[in-house]
Amino acid sequence: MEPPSPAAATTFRHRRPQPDPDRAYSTRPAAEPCLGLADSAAWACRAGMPLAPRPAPRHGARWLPWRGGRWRTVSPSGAGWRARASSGLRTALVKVVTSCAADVCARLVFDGMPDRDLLSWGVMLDWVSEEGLGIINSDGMPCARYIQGCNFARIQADDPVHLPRGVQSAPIFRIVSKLLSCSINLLKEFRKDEGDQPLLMEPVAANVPELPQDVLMEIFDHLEIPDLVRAGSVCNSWHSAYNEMRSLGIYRLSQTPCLLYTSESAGDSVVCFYSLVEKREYKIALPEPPIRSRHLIGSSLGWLVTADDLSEMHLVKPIFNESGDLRSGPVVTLKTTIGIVPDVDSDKMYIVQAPCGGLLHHFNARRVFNGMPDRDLVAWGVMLDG
Amino acid sequence: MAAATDDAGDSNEMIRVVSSDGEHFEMPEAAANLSLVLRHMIEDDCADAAGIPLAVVAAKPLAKIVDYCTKHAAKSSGLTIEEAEELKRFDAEFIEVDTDMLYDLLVAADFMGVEGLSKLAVQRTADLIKGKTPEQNRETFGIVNDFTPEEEEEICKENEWAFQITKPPSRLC
Repeated sequence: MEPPSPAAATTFRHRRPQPDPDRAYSTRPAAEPCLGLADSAAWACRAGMPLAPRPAPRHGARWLPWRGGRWRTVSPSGAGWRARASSGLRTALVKVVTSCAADVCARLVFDGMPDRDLLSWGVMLDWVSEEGLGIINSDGMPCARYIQGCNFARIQADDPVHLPRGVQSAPIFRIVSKLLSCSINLLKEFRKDEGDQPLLMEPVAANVPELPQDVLMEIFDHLEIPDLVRAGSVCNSWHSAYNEMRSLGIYRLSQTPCLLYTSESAGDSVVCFYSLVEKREYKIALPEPPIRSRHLIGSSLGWLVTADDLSEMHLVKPIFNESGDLRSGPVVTLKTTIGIVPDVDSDKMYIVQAPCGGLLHHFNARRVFNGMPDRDLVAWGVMLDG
Repeated sequence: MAAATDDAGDSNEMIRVVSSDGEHFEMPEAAANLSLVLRHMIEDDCADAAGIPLAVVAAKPLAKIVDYCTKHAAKSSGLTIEEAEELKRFDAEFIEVDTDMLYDLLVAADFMGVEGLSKLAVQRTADLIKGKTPEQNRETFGIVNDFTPEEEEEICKENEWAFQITKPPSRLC
């Protein structure tokens, strides 16, 4: 494979986050674009570029991202970093998707937490953000603007049938949906007959008036994730609209931030999140390893990156109970890749998702190796999410 | 409906529309222009004395839509703050309808391409869905649960957390 051209590299848009030093957490827009860094690793492998094996950290120490994009080991007592990183899961990280109002809310809840057993502020629910990554189909044409972590592989796999929302709601599709929808009055008549003619009910039940799928999706677009999930289990029609939204990644609403935390009473593998909108708590049992014993490194697009004391990394997406192990180092697949990289000028790590399409492939690779002066690339990894 | 003609701005021509059950309605051209379908029909000179037939829209929702369009067309340009607030109040009252009418409005507004009304109805429906269990949603919208027990169990299991009921603890979904 040819190395990427400089021109391609310059087309990459990167906006740096501006953390507020006054806060116990930092804010930044969702999906900070570290586009497809894992792809670059794939490229590096094929180009014969060695990926530095991660040296075993000293006892009790772990790898941490250092300012300037380098990686270093830091002992648990290491000054400076201890406050931020080695307190691990207790580090508060707030990722407010878009609005300042939500930010204020987040702050209020944080201040009001009685026991401060605080894993993370995270907007784990931000399936998709306006700043999301682009999806490019096999022809190199932009396919949809939004990306959703766990469904990405599906989008790729189903190519080329997938249409972005804009195309889907183009007149011809709307007309088709209208032609398929039945006359409302006729359907109401069916409902009235329900009691009198039980024998007729079998075929009739399938004809209960249903909103066209595009209208349903517009409605679902206004729901918070818990409401959306529940709406998806009302009936077949709603369920397929819900599935469609997930698989197309067209869920647009900026989600209200949720407080994510663990507690002793809930158990080691259970993560709780507090919904500001509903003012209630949800508990999600996660697969092994127990989340409570791990250090949270960051979150993105609903994924959490955690690490244990030996820096073995693990990815988990609590909402859909998906997880991926990064322990075995780079694994390259042709579907979806996820990488974790430090941002050059901050101490954040990013989870990165990208298609392995030819176009992205090039400048992603370029981006990674330009961005890492010492090539000490220790913590990127990829996983399948299908 | 005809009363709003004078307020309707540059256009004072009345457009006739016919509902699926044969009822005739009139609205100013400016109001009809809020509907994508009607606007295209007018542009293509299909709006004649016989009226534009709307095969999918029954009289009841059509009356509401004509009402909505007339109101909004009359207030479309150069809104003062008071007028904007009044329009908001009108919208809020306008959409206080039962779910049958809401359904009719959703379908009709989508069919006719009345964007403002579509948004209004969509928002209203979303508000009705919020905070409800699937069963409550079925009751609200008169939906028949057409899952097989196995399907339902699988769906509930997949996202078990969403069906947690904090108080009092009882069955899941």
